[in-house]
Amino acid sequence: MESTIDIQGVEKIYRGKTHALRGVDLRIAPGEVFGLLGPNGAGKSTLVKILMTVIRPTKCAGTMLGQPIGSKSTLARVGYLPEHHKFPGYLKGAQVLDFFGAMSGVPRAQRKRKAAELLELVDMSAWANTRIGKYSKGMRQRVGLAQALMNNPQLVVLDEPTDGVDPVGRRDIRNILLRLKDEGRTVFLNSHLLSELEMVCDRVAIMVKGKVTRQGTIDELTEDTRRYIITLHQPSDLAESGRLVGQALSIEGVQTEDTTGSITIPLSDPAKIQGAIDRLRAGGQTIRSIQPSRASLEDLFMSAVAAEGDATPGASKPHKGGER
Amino acid sequence: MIRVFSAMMIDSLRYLRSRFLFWIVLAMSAIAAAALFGTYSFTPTGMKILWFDPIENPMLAEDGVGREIFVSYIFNAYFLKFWLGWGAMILALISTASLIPDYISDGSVELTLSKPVRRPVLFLFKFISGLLFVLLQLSIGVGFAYIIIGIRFDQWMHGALLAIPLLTLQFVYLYAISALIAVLTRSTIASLLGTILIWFVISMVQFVSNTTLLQYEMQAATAQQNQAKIVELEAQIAEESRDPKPFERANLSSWTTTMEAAQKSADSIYPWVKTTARIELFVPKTGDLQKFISSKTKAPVTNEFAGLFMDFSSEEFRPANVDEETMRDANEAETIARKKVRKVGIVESITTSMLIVCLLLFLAIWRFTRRDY
Repeated sequence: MESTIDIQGVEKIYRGKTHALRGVDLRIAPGEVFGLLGPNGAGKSTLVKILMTVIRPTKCAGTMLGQPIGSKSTLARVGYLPEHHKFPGYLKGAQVLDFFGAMSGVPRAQRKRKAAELLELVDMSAWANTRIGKYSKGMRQRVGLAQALMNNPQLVVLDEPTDGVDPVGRRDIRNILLRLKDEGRTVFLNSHLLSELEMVCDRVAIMVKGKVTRQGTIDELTEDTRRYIITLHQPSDLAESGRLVGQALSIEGVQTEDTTGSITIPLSDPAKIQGAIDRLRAGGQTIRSIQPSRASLEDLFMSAVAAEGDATPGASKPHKGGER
Repeated sequence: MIRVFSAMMIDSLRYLRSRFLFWIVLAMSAIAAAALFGTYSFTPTGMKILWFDPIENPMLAEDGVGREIFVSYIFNAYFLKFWLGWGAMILALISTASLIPDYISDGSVELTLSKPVRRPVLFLFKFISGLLFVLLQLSIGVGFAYIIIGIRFDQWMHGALLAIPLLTLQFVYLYAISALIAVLTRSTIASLLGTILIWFVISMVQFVSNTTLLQYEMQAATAQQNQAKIVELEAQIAEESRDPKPFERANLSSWTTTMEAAQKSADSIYPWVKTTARIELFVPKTGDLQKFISSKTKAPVTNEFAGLFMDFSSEEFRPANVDEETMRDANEAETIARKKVRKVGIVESITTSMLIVCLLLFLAIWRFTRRDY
């Protein structure tokens, strides 16, 4: 099946000096929720803006919805919510949807009905006839999300959609994203809220210093970090037990934690763990719990950032504006 | 494309409606029209302003020849040039100066650039929607004045309606400058101040050009007047087959001297007229549009208007060392010169101005299209 987004070697150099993107390769399958994460200044928004034709790439090969990147006609099938977006304060919620719907080519007759539906979806119907200027940040995000869906898009690109949204709003947005996925739409999420991404994304990519360093499903990315944690009840000589388990399984890297009385075994196959259980019980240890474990997205993210020598999530963003 | 255009026009209308200044300017236009055409009336013996005693002046009486001249002059000199041409135009620039900088500000521009519309089209539509302010203001302001004048004085100045498209065109000239500066700087203040500064320079160029041309035409008219008098007297003498009488000889000599001096002066000014006209070719000619409207509304020149109230050749206004005939000739020459200066080649003027506007818009679109946001 043709990828919704398939890009190779995307580069962006601002004013011939700042390398914002250094050859980004991404492939996003139809119908998946894809998360792009990275520290501030990693180039996430630059990449999104290149896809949305807001920024001109220095180098770019690939397609979006089957058309070359930069094709304006493709954008009629794409919904986009930019980060820190600003709707004109003189417009009312319903007018915002109507205006951006028209800009996306939605016929007038459909716009009114669609706007009402979407305002209902984002729980903003009661505010449809109130000026945007009076909205809170979270309300603007909700209307922004509705705006991105006005043209019934095949691909929805959301840049920090939960920024400024309260926990209830985040849950609502999460539910909307899952609903979009159920409807077969592709969602491209750009966020640094790792827990949000972990909950909804099928696949993620980690971007650091203008490069995608890791890409795949969360299971794939955490495959190497899978382990089992066996917690013992009042263990006697935990260090020795750990050594014996390693010996029994013929593996290295078994770790013990005195404070919790636990032994961490770097294996993902449950069949192999049985040997460890037998060995511990034979040694007279009482097992309180056995838990499969893996690294969180946050762990992955931090290790990716550290591996690239950018342990400062908060680094300044590349300059905005200018020409290539 | 039509859908996008209409959406942007409706958006612009909503923007204008939300601007307090829009309503202020509209109210001021109505007040200006009411004040200039609703506060006086013409009586059988002259005119009456508000509740004050009537001014006795047969020229301005109900059936006087000066009544239409008076109203037409007030419309052109005060309502059109002073209010709509300057006051409302500056307020329109203030009102619309933020339109493009806001449009291309961070957080706003991404929303529209990510839509399936090409950047040059987006920019052009935004530019056109910015003209709505002036178009609405002029339609309502001029329309209101046209109706008041028609109803109160039974003087239907159809030519006045030309002010709506032509002053909108004047705003196009200025707004193109504003748009280019806005795209280059993304600053409302820079756009506004830059436009007003350039408008001032344009006005100065036109002022110098007009003044030079007026001086040239006055000298040329004086030379022609005197030449005509010489030809007429010499023809009379020849017809009567006689020698000129001593006073006629003195007159011929005086007229010849004046004619030669005026011609010499005109010849010396002419290169400046050419030079300033060439310079004027390279600026949008805002003043030409007002001149064209004045001529279409048959507005009197200043001398003719002042002539309604005073006789310049009378002793009251004439310097002691200038005789009545010289004064009358000078006044007539100035009137002829002013009317000539007012005559503009409107097609040439608009064509050359629009070429400059197109260049400005091309540069603005080029920058808007190439820029990263």
